[in-house]
Amino acid sequence: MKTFNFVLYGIFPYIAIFIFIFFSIYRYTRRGYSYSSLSSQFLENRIHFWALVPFHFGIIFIFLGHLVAFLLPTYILSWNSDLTRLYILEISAFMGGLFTLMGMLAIFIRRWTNPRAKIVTSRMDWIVLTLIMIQVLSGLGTAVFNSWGSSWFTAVANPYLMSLLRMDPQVGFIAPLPWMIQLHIMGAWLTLFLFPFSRLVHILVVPNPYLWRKPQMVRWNWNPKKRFI
Amino acid sequence: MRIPYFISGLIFLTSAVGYAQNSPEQYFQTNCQACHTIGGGKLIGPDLKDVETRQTREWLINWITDPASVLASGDPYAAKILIEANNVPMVPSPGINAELAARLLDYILEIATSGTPVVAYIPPTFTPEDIVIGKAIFLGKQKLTNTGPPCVSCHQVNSLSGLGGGKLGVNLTDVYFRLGEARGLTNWLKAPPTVTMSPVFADHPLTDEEIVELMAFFKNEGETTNAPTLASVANFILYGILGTILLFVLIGSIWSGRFTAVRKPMIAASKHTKSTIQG
Repeated sequence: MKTFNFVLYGIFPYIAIFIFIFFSIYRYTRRGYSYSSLSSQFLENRIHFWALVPFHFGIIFIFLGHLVAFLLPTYILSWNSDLTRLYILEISAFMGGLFTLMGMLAIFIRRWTNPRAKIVTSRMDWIVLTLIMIQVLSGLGTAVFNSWGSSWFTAVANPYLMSLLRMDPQVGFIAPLPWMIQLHIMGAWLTLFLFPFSRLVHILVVPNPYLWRKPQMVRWNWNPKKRFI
Repeated sequence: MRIPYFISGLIFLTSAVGYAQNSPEQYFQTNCQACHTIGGGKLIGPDLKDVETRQTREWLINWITDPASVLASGDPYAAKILIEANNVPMVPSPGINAELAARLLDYILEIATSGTPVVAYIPPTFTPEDIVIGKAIFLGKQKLTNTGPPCVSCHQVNSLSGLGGGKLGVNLTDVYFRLGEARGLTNWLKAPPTVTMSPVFADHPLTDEEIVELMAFFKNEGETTNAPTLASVANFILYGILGTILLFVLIGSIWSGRFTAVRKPMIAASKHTKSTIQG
C-alpha cells in the first residue's frame, strides 16, 4: 500500500508534469494549428450559452482559487481567521463549483442530444469531459463533507505540493486523506497527463488581447449592392 | 519493465530503512506516548508495563502493526481494550512494521525493568481566560506560535453556530473526556499520533501554554455540550444553490442582447410585420 501510494502521489505527478510540458511543446511546434478547442457555437447556439459561460467562469474562478491557496497560503489562513470571512470564501468557492457543474451538465446534454454537436465531439473530448466532471463532483463533495478545504489545503496539500517541487515527495500528507480528496488529487494529475493530447491545450493559447484590444469593425471592401445589380 | 520494479523496490526499501533508523525511544515518544505510559498508569490506552504478561509477543506485534484487522477478526481481548479506551481505537502508527514493533516491545521491557522513576502528573488548573484564549486558538483568531493550522479548519464543536467548523476531522465537543481528560489530552496534543494530524503537526507542534488553553476550551465544551446538528451542512448547500441561481440570473441579464441566430429572428420579424399590415 505504501509503495502503491508512493507511485500514485510521488512518482506519477512527475510523469504527468513531464508529459504535459514535453508534449505540449511538441504539439505546438509540430501541429500548431491543432492548438484549438474547435468551436461548435456555429452548429448549435441555444444551449451553448448556458453551457459555455457558467462552465468557463466557474472553472476559471475555482482554478484561480486553488492557485492563490497554493501561492499565498498564509494570506488565506489570515483571511480565514475570522469565521464570517471563512464562510464567505467557502460559499463563494462552492457557488463557483455549482456554477461549473451546471455548465458541465449543459455541455453533456448539448453534445449528446444535438446531432451536429455530437458528431464533432471526439472520444478524447468525452474522456476529458468525464474527467473534469469527476473533478467538479469530488471537489463539491469535499467542500460539503470534508470542510474547510480553504484552511486545511494550506496544511495538507501545500506541503505536499512543495515537497514535489523540492523533489522530495511527502505522500504521507495525502495517503491518509478521505477517498474523495484522493480522487480529486489523482484526477488533477491525470488531467495534466492528458492535457497535451486533448482540446485542453486551448488554455495555453487563450487570445487574452481580445479582452482589451479596440473593437474591430468588419465591413465589405466593395459595394455589395453594386454587385447584385 | 524491470526498471519501474527496481525503482519502486528501491523506494520501498529506503523508506523502510528511514523509519527503522529512528530509535525506539524516539519513535515511542512521537507515536505511542500520546495514549500510553510505561508504568505511569492508564491514559487513553492501557499502561504498557508488563504488557507481555497480558498477551504473547506475536499477538502484540500483530496488534501494533495492524490493529484494525485484529479488531475486525473479533478478537475478544482487542474488543475489551477498545471498550476500556472509551471506544477510541488504536491507530496504526506511521511507518510501523513487525521489526520496529519488536524493537518497541524490547524498549518497553527495558524501561519497565530498569526501575526508571515515573514523574507524578500534576493536572493544570484552568482559568476563564484560558477558555477564551482556547476558543480563539480553536477558531484561528489567535495564531499558533509554531504556525500550525487552526483547529476549525478540520474540526467542529457543537457550540459553533452558523456553518460550523470543519468536517474533515472528528467532532471535538467531547474530546476532553473521550481522550482521558487533561493527562491523556496533553500527551495527545503534544504529538498527535493519527496519520492525518501527525505529518501536519510534526514540524509545527503546539506549545505547552496553547495545550492548556485548548484543553480549557474543550473541557468547557464537553461540560456545556449542545446536540450535534446537520443544519450547518444543509445551510451551506442552500446558500450555495441560492448563490448559483443568482449567478445564472446575472449572466442571463448581462448578455440578454446576445446574438442567438440569423434566420429565426428575421422570420419572426417578418411575421410581425405581416400581422401589423393585415391588422
